[in-house]
Amino acid sequence: MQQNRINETHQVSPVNAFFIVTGSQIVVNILKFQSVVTEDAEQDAWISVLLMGLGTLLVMWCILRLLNNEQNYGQPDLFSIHKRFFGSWIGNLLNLAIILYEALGAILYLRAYIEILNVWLFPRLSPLGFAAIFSLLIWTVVIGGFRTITGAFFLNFIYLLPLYFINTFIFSDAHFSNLLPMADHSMADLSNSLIKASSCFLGFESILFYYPFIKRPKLAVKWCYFGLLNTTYTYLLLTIQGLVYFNIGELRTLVWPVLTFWKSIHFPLVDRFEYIGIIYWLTVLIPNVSLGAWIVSRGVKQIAPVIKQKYALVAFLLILTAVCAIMQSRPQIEWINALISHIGFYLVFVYIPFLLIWQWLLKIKEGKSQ
Amino acid sequence: MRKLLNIAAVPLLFLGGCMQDNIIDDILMVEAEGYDYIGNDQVIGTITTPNYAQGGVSGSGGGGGPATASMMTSASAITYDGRSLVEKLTPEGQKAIRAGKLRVQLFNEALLRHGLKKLIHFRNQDPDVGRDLFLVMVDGNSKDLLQSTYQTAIPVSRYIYDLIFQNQQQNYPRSNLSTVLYNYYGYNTDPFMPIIKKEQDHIVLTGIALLKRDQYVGRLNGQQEAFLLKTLIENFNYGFYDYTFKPNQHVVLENVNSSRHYDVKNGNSAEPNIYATVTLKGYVRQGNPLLATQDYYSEIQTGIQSEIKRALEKMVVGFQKMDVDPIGIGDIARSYTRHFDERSWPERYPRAHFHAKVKVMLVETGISNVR
Amino acid sequence: MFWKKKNDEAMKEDQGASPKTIEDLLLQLKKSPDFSHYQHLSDTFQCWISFFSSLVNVESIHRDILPFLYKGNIRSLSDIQEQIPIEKIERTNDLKLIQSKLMEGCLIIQEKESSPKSLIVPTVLREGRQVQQPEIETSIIGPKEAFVESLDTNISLLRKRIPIPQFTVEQSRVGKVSNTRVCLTYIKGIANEENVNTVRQRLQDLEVDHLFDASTLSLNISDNNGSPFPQFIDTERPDRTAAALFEGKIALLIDGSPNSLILPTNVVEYFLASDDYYTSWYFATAYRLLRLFAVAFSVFSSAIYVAILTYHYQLIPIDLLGSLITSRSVVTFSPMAEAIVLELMIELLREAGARLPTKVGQTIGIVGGIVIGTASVQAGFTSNVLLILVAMSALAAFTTPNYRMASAIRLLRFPIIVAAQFLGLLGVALCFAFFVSHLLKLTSLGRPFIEPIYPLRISDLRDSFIRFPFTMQSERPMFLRPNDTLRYNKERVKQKAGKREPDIDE
Repeated sequence: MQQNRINETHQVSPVNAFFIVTGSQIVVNILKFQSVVTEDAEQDAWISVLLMGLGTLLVMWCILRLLNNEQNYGQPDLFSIHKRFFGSWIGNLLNLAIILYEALGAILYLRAYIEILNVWLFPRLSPLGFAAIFSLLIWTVVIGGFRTITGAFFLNFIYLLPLYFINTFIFSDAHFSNLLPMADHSMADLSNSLIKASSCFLGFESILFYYPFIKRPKLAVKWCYFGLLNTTYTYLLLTIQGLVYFNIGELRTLVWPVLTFWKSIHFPLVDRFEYIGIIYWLTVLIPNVSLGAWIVSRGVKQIAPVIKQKYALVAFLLILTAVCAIMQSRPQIEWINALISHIGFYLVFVYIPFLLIWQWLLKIKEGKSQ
Repeated sequence: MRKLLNIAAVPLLFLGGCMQDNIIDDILMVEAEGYDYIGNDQVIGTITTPNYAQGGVSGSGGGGGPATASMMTSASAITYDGRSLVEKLTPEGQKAIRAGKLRVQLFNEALLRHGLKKLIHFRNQDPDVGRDLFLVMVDGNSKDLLQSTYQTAIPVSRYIYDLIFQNQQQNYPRSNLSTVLYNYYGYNTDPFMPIIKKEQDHIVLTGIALLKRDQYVGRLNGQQEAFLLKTLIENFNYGFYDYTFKPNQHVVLENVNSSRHYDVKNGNSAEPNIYATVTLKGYVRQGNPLLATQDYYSEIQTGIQSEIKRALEKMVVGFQKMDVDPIGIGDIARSYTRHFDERSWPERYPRAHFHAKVKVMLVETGISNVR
Repeated sequence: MFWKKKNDEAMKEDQGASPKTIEDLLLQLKKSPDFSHYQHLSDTFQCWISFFSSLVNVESIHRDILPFLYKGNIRSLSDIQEQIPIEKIERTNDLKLIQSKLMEGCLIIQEKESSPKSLIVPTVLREGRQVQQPEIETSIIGPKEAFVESLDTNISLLRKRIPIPQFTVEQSRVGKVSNTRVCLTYIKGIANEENVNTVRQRLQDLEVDHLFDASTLSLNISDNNGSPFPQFIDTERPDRTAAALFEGKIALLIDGSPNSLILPTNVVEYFLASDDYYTSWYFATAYRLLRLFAVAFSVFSSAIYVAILTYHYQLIPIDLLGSLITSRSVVTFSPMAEAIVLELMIELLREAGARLPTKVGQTIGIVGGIVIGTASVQAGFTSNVLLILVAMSALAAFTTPNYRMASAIRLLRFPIIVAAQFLGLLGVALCFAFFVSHLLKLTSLGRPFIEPIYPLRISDLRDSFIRFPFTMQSERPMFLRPNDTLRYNKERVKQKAGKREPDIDE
C-alpha cells in the first residue's frame, strides 16, 4: 500500500481542489449553456440550475466517500478501484471504457473550440493545423506533471475572474420582468431542463483520477464543495443574465448566447468583446484538455505498465490531432456532444453511487469472511 | 525529443496560418447599407465605405507613393431580397469589401411594407456584424440619401449614426439591432425603428416606424410622441417634454427622469386590464412670463399630468387599432400573469384596457423668480 | 576539504604538462619578466625568495619581511614564521599549493632551491577600483555603494551591513584552470540548510575552466539552462544583497565580479527596485504596478498591433479606425514587416548605445530616436502609430530593474509578433500560453519560480505586486522555507500600534 503513494513533490496542496473542480466544470459548453437550459423550463431555468448544483454536491459526497474508504485498500483512484472491485480482467475493460470516455471528452472540448474559431474568427483556420499546435502546447504542460496542470487550472481561474464583472454591462439592456412569473413551470419541464443542464456540470468527476495527488485529502473536502458551489453560482448568474438580456424566443435561435451577448459589449479600445472573449477561452481549454490527456495517458499506463506515460501521451495527442482533423461539420460535433453528455450523466449519477454501494457490499463480505 | 518538437512547431505555425487576412488599409469597410424595394422580390442595394485617406497624410513628405486615396465610396446594384450586399457588390470593389464595421442599415418604406424577415434572419445569423448597428427607415429613397452630399464632411454613415445615437440619448426610445431582434423574436412584442429623411443638405429624424412582426404598419411623428412611447418602454434620464398650456403658450420640462411600473389584472380573461404608472421628474428652464413661479407647482404640474395621461392612453388605443405592440404589452401581461395563455393573446390584445397613471414632479424652475 | 581534493585530482588528470618538481616550476616561471627569484644571503641564514612583483605588495615586503631576514636570530624557516609580523604564514611541502599561492601574490621562502619545503608569506597586493556608485541599478534614495571587482572588499561591504557572527562565508574554488574564489554567504539560523547544501553541491559539480562573472556562474548553475528567463538575480548593490540575506536567501560572491548572485528567487523579484523599500508603501506599490504594466505592454503591444491590423479590424473603435488607416495608408509593408523593421531598429540603437563610448552613445540616441524615426515615417517605411507603440514599449522594457530579465523580455516580443502575423490574436494567446507553461515548470534552486502566484502563497504576496507596510511583513518569504520564519515579533508591533490610538484632541 505504501509503495503506491505518490511522491510528495508531485502532489498539490488541498486548496487547489477548488480550482481544479470548478475549472473542469466550466469549459466550452458554458457558451451554449443559456439556450440549452432554458429550452423547457424557460424563465424558471434557474431553479433547475440550482437543483443540479445540489445534485453535484451529492455526487461529490459519494465520490469523496468512495475515495476516502478506498485509501485503506490501495491507491484511491478509479483505475485501481476498478481493478480491486472487479478483478484484473473486467477492471481493465472498464478502465479502457473510462479512458475512451475521457479521451472523447478532451477531443470534444478541442473540436468544439475550433468550431467556434471557425465560425467567428478564422473561417479558414485548418482544424489539423490548430490541433497540432495546440497538442504541442498540451504536451509542454502535461510533461511537467500534475503540478503544472494544476497551475494551469489555477491561472485559468485567475484569468476568468474579470469575466464575472462583464455581467454588469447588461444593466442598460436588462429586462428583469422576463424572470416573472416565478415557478410557473411543471416538474416535468424543470427536470427536463435539469437533465439538459447536466452536460454543462460534468467534468468534476475527474477527481476520481487525481485524488491521490492531493496532499492531506481530508482538508481538500471543503474545497471540492466550494468548487462545485462556485460553478453553480456561475451558472446561476449566467442563466439569469441570459434570461434578462434575451427573451425566450431569441434564446431559441442562438447557438452561443454568451458570445452573442459579448457582441454588444464595448470597451474604450475594444469595440467587440466577443473576439477577445473567444481568444480568452483558450485559457479555459488548456488545463481541461491537459487534464484529459493526463488521465488518458495515466490510464494507459495503469492498464499496461509496460507503456511509459510520456509515450502514451504522445500517442494520444497524435490521435487527438487526427480526430479533430477528421471531424468536419457541426452535426458530427453535436452527435459526439450528445453521446458524451449521456454517458457522463449515467456515469456520474448512476455508476458512481453504484460503486459506493458495491464498495459497501464488499466491506460487508470481507467482514463476514473474517 | 524536446528540441525536435520545438523545431517542429515552426512549420506548424505556417500550417495553421494559411488564413485570409484583413489588413485594415487593404479592405473596404462597409459602414452603411441601403435597401430600396422595387417590387417582385427585387431590391436596389447601396453601400457606402468611408474614404479615410482623401487628404493624403500630413508629414508624409510625398514619400511612399500616393496615399490610397479616392477609393470607391459607394456602389449599388439590383439583387434579390435578403442577399448579402457585400458579395453582390464584390465585382465593383477595388479591394475586398468587408461588413464587420457596419453601422446603419437603411430601408425604404416599400421594403418595410414588403417585410424585413429575410434581412433580420440574416443579421441574427451573421457573426461578423456587431449588435449595435441601427436599422432605420428612410422617408423617400435610401440610395439617394446615401449618395448625396451634405453640409458635413464626415462620411454619411457616421452622420446618420451620430444623429440617431444622440437622439436616443434623449427623447427617442433605444432601437438598434439588439432591440429589434429582441422584439422580433420575442413572443407578443413588435419591433420599431427610427425614421430619417433627407431635407436639402440635412438629414432629419422625423419619427418612429411601427412594425407588425417584420412589416411596416404605421408611424409616430415627432419627438413628442417618441417621448410618450419612451416613457412606456424604458426608464430614462434626459428627455424633454413641451407642454402647451394655452394656445401658443409653452412650458418645457427638461432633464426628465422617467420611470415606469406595470400591473396586470385578469391577464387571462377576454379583456385584460393593464395599469401603467409613469413617474416623471423634471426641471423647468424655459418657462413662460405669464406664469408665476408658484403656478408651476400647482397648475402646470397637474396640467402636464393629465395631458400625458390622455396622450398615453390615446397612443395605446391607436396601437391596438393597428394591432401592433411596440411597448410589449403582451410580454408585460405574461410577466404578471400566472399560467399566461399565450396562444389567445393576439385575439385578446385589441380588447385589452390600458390605464395610465402619471405622476409629474417639478424639481426646480431655474434661477429667477416671477411673482 | 572535499572540493579541494576533487580539484586536485582533476588538475592531475588534465594538466599533464604542469611542472612535476619545484625546480621545473621555477624554471618555467623565470621566463616571465615580473617574476623575482633570488638567493638571500645573510650571516646566519640563507634562503631563496620568489614572488611576482606584479602581484605582491612590494612596499610591505621591503618594510615587513626583508629587514627581519637580516636579523641575527633567524636561523631557520620556523624562526621566520615566528618573527615576521605578518599573520597566517604557512609551511608546506605541497607543490600545488605553492604554485597557486604564488599566483595569488604570496611570497615563497625556500631553504634550498630544489626542495619544496617552503614558507608561504601572504603579501597580496590589494589593488582595484574604489567602491563607487552603482551604475546599472541606480536608485534615487538609499545607499550609493556598489560592489567592486575585489572579493574581499565585497565581503567587507556585506559584513558592515550584517554585523553578526551568524553571517557565514564559505570559500570554495571554481574553474578548473582559473581556480576562481567563490564565496557562499548566508546567515546561519535564517537560511534554509537544504538550500545551502544544494548550492554547495552545484558549485562542486560545476565543470568550467574559468569564471569571470556572477552572470556566467548563474548561467552555469541555474535549474534550467535553456530557459530565456534568468533564475538567479545578479545585483551590484550590497544593500539589496544584505536584504536578501536577511530574508534567508543565499548570496554568492565571485572574485573579479562586481555582482553578487542572489538565490533562490521568484519571478516577481526581478521587477522590484531597491527604491521600493525606501519610499512609503503606496508609492512603492504604484511604481511596482507601473513596472508590471510596462512589462505586459512591452511584450504585447506591437504584437497586438500586428494581430489587430492584420485580422481583427472589427475590434478597432470606429473613431480610432480613421487615424490608424490614414497612418497606414502610405506604408508599403504589411503590419508585421513594419513592426519587425521598427523593432530591429530599436534593438540596433540599443546595441549601438551599449557598445559605443558614453559620449558618442548619447549622440546615437538622438540621431536614432529623432532623425531615423521621423524619416522612416516620411519614407513610408512605418506608420506613426506603430512608431509611438514601439518607442513606448522599448522604454517600458527598460523599466525592469534587472538587466538580464529586461533583455529576456525584449526578445520575447519577436516570436509573439511572428505568431500574431500567422494566427492573429489567437497566435498571441498561444505564444503567451507557451511562455506561461514554461514558467509554470521553471524552478529556482528547486523552488517554484512563479511562486507567490502559483503555488498561491498569500503571505508572500505581501511583498510582490503590492508592497504592504513593513509592519505587516512580519514573516520571511515562505518559498525559501527559512529556518526562522518570523522577522520580528508581530505581537509587539501591535502593542506599539495600540498605544497610538487616542481619541480626538486627547
